[in-house]
Amino acid sequence: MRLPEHLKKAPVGVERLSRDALSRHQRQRIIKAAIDVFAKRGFQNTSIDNIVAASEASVGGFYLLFDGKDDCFVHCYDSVTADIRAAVAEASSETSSWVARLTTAVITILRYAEEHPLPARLVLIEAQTAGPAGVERYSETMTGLSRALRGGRELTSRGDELPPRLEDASSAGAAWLLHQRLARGEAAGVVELLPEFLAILAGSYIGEAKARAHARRALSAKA
Amino acid sequence: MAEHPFPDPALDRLSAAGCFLDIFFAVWADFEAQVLEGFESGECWRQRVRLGAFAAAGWLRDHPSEARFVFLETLRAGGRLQAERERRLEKLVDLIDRGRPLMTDPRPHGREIAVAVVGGAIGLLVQELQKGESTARVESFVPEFMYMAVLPYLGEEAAREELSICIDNPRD
Repeated sequence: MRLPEHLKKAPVGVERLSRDALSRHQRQRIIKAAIDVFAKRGFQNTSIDNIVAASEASVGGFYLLFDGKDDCFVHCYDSVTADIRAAVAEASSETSSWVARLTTAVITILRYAEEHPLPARLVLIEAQTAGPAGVERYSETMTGLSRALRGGRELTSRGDELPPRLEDASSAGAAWLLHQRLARGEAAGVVELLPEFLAILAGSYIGEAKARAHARRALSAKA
Repeated sequence: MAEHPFPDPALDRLSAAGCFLDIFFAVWADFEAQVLEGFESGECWRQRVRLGAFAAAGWLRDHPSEARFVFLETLRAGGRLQAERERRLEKLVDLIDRGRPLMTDPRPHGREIAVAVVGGAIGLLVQELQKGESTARVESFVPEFMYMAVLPYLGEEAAREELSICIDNPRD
């Protein structure tokens, strides 16, 4: 009697992975290690050798997947921001109003920074030192934040009279506040600054007292 | 032999990093002196911040290369310079934070608001420099900066008044 093809003996646990899957896996491994290396050593002080050593890859393997250090950094940046975006999207799926969405997004970002200070450091600190590609990515992130904040103008009857670059400044101010905490190694407890962050980001639209009250409610609800 | 905890500053200056740091200190001191002079010439906190901001904008307009150096090039420098840059920015934060006692209820406010005001202004300046824009434009942003600086401390009405301040006569 002949066994059907799928019941024939085959070595267990050594299924061949496709070349693409292997390459994806290897890329993820290098990115994961590189995030920590960039964040700990700083972009300028990181060499390909540092990344290769931390990821236990080979120099040849590295260059098969990345054009160089800048390209690797950009992949790291994209990986971290994709994680943050996914966390924000998941957390705010059930919220409806602009203020509630903003509150949820900010609390999620602060929590991320608290739990993952190294990736957060890569995005907020190292990107600005990482040459044109890193700066461009950082600018895109800030532009996205600024655009999202502009939705707050609809909450006030005098939205059109607000300074045109208000959102650029408030998003840059909030980013700087977090930047400082991360640079000083003080990411722990940063979630408690939610009232300050909301006052900075939403105070112009709903008033500072309301923004702080929203933050306090959100903190007690999530406690 | 144990490593000397305080490197010889003369030797440090011989390195490119040491030289970079020296130039940064000198340029920043010039910028800060102008800002402080503007700030101190005001009569109340709000006017002081405004005059300090115009003094900063004037310095940036007159020193485009130095502005690019201290606010942009230093971003790519090492940790020591970043720390020195941050320490100096703290002085500007102090000037903004002096508005806290003027609030009707200063209790909920921490220094963080002043940090964000200064960070926001620096962020905008860096964006301009990265786009290759002229530093002469910065003066026209002062009323917007003043709106953001005044709002948390003196409220919306005072902040809106800053948007209509005449650039040619900032004392009024």
